Amino acid sequence: MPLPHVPYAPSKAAIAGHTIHRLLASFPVACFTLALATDIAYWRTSNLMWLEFSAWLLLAGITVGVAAALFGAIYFLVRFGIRAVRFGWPAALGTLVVLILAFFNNLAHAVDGWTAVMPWGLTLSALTVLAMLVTLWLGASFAYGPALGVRNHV
Amino acid sequence: MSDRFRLQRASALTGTCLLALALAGCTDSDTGFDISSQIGPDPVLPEPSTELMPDLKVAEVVGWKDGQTPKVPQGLTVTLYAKDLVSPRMVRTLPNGDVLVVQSRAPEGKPLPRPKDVIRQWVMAMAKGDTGGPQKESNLITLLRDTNRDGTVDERHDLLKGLNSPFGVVWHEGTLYVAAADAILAYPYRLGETAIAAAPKMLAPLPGGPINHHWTKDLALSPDGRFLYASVGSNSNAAERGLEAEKGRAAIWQVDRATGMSRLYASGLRNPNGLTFHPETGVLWTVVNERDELGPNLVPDYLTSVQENGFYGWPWSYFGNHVDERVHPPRPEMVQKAIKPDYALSSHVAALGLTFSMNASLPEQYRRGAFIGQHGSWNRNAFNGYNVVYVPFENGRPAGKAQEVVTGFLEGDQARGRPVGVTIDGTGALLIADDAGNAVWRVAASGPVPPSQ
Repeated sequence: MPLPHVPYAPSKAAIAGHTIHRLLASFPVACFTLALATDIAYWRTSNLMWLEFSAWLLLAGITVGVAAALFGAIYFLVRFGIRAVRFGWPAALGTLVVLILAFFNNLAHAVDGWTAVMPWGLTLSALTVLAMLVTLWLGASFAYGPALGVRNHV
Repeated sequence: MSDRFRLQRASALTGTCLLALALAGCTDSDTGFDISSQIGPDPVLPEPSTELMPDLKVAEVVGWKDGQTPKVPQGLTVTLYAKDLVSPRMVRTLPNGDVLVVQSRAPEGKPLPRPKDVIRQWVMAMAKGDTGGPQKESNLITLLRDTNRDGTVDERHDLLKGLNSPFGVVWHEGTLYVAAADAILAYPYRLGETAIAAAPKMLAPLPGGPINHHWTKDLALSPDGRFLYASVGSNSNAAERGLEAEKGRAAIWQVDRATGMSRLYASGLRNPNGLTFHPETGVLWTVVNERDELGPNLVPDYLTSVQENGFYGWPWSYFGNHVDERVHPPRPEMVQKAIKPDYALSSHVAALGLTFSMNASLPEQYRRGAFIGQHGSWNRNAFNGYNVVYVPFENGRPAGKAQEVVTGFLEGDQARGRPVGVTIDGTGALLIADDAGNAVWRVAASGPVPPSQ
């Protein structure tokens, strides 16, 4: 028996929540991308200033990134229920991979000098950015996919 | 859809692998290593290990309760010489038998350029029991006088206060030289006086702040009395603050006592302390703290004679020509030049104090060697150091294994005290400055000893 159609009720809380999530999630995107850039700068110049930049960018990225992931998880569970979780989980998994890579990258960048970046720091920075691109692509493809925006439909 | 599924599975697998890697990185892989193989002229040096999370284990300081003392072997006895000091780091005996105790704290305001610096400073402060409350006044020099030479202090006077993190101290010909964190100061002082009112003259500046990472500056007087030698530690672990920050550092300076003219005497010594001339050969010796975060068994701290214009490797290499890959760009010609030090003391012991036994009135086996105060490790999971060791000497060179002489500073994972500077007092006994225990300990022969030859 088909369920009765319930019209989507826009709520200000939802808009606010979505805005906060987008805002938080933009930090790791910018920080991890810039950390790759500063790692490359250190690799090319041996100037330790770039290593210091990388270390702070990675710390800022993972701190706000974890906050964004927790906020996102709770918000989307509460707001959209189990359906959103079903369709959102590749992106969620991608986020987890990004954060795990960033965690190890933070540790790698705590080494004193060249071996903080060469070869593992730079490799992890590149993998983090790659994983981030894949995650964003997955998220975008679901947003424009056929399943989203169709509610209460069996 | 199947592509997506594969991607998800791949990413899940990556996550799991990374977690497994992390756990593997946390296990202690050094359990089989014999640390005594790193004591002596030819230490065993394992390959550097790149730990994801460097070991950081500092003993919580609990202090000494009444009646508790360090432990000494048969034939020696240990007594409390002075207590209620505030972070005593250095003890020096004046020619009249008075003992100076230099008490000091690290200078404040060191810039912290990376997240790890901030986190580590916080962890270390916690371990020192520094809860941010008001601290007792340190940075002073106290005179201890044993008038009747019975091994107990009869008089105590604060000679100088409000100094800038002093460490080394030398007296010669009516002048007391104090090595503060940024300069050698000269105070007019006649032996026996119990106060210094006169303002000092600055004999020579030394590399100081704002970083001043290894800030303790030790002093020694050349046997002919013409020169002072001042040790200056590096501004970093392995040059991670850049070479510009290391100008004039990781070095021993020679300073003309009459004019203050200074020149680099030896370099490449990461954190030298305990400058002492060998009483028979007149050769300058020092103990050096080597670098961290290459694993629990790298790099051994060492005891070495100091050659004029000698270069000992830091930061580019350790223990001769073992390259430290962290320092970039590499400098093979500097590595080539590096002198291998004389005698390894094993890794992370933090050797800070050195005195020759000067034919002291100690049992025969301790009369011709060096006592070394070892402050104790933080960069390994099993503690090392936290003791005073004796290295026997023959013909002015180390001959034989270092032996533990004073122990008991550690109790489980807690520290009652941590030894730093050592000296021989006017009665021929060994004195030890204990900065964490806020005490000076005296180690003497437990019975009468035959007179020295």
